[in-house]
Amino acid sequence: MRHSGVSNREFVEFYAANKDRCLRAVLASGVRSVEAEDAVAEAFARAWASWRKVRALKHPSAWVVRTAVNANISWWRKRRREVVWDRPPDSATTDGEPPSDLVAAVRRLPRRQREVVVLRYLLDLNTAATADWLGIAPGTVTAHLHHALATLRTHLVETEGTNR
Amino acid sequence: MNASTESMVLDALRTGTADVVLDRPVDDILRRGARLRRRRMSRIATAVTAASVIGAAGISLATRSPEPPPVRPAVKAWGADLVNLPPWELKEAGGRCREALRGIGISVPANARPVAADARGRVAIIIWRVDHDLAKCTLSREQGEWQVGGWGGHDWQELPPDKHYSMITLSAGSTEPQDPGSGPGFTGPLQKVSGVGQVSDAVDAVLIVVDGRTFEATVGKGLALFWMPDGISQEDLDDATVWTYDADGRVLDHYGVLD
Repeated sequence: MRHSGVSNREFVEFYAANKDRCLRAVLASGVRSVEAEDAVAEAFARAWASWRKVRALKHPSAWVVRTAVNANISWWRKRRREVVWDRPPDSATTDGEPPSDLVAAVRRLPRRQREVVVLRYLLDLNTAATADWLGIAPGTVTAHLHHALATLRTHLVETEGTNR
Repeated sequence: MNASTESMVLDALRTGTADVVLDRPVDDILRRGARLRRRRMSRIATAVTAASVIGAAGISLATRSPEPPPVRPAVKAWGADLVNLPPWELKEAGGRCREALRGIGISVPANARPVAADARGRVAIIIWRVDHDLAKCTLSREQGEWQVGGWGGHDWQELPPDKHYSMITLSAGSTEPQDPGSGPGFTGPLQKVSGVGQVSDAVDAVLIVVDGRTFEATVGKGLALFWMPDGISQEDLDDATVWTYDADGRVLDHYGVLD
């Protein structure tokens, strides 16, 4: 399958190398577990639809995550013959089943701190790249990370204490 | 913060998410991407054809319209104003939304006036601007009380100079359950589809064309707000177009509703 001379091999390799980490990043960004897979799959499909543009970006995996999180298509479902609300993927809620307590703690971080943690630790972007993608100064990234780590460390310590 | 803390958190994050994997065959992704691209190319091809015909007649082409733009007026797709819920309902519903939003780090002051609020039947939407966030909350009235169904914050980013519309968030529901693993979207008819788009300062009016029908969004405070008719399909939604007009009624541009 080709798009006007663009081979799909490069995209297939990109997909294989990034699909899992993008899913983890989207989950940590607050998208519900039940909808994150669809959102990430759709984002990769859009990446392939615009591969010439996306492949030229400095951080295509960050583009996929942003696209998945911003898809913001929410669904209702019928339950017991009634239309009942279901939470949309734009909700950074604590519902669903986050893959770990720590991911749930990441979801509860303030937005910027959450974004920095996702980009730095789940997408493996360095400080400069994270700053570039978010349009903020590298020092600001470091400051957000510092605060986020303090919160997450507290969470880990409390969790360990509870488990003893 | 020392390196050991960073290492501890990093290890815990990686260990805790090690079993989270995206189990979608790449062929499915490629097919869906190709379909999206074909749809886009089809729109572009139509626009090029229109441009060629008009160009040959020596008429300047003001827009890249694939077809004659919708004629106003159309059916209003939102209430008369940006905020259409009465104060007592805003108080009850807004309080519940604020509580939910607080849980994700968005603090909406109790006295903050929403930028938009509207209801269709048992479903309501309330939107606030908070710092650099657009906070959106959706509710349904169940047994006489508003219950929060969805809430979230969206980055407010300036539009590029040449762009007049960008989708911020779209919500849809269906009375039919989504088949697990069927991919994005519903297979059944959609209900209570609502859209919140960002528009440029030049935009005075926005029309939405979906399933051959035209609806007029309510525009204000940089937003275009609209509901879509019940019963449209996921494909209708994917193909819906948004037309932006200036104050003189001239078409500024048109977009896919999800652009």
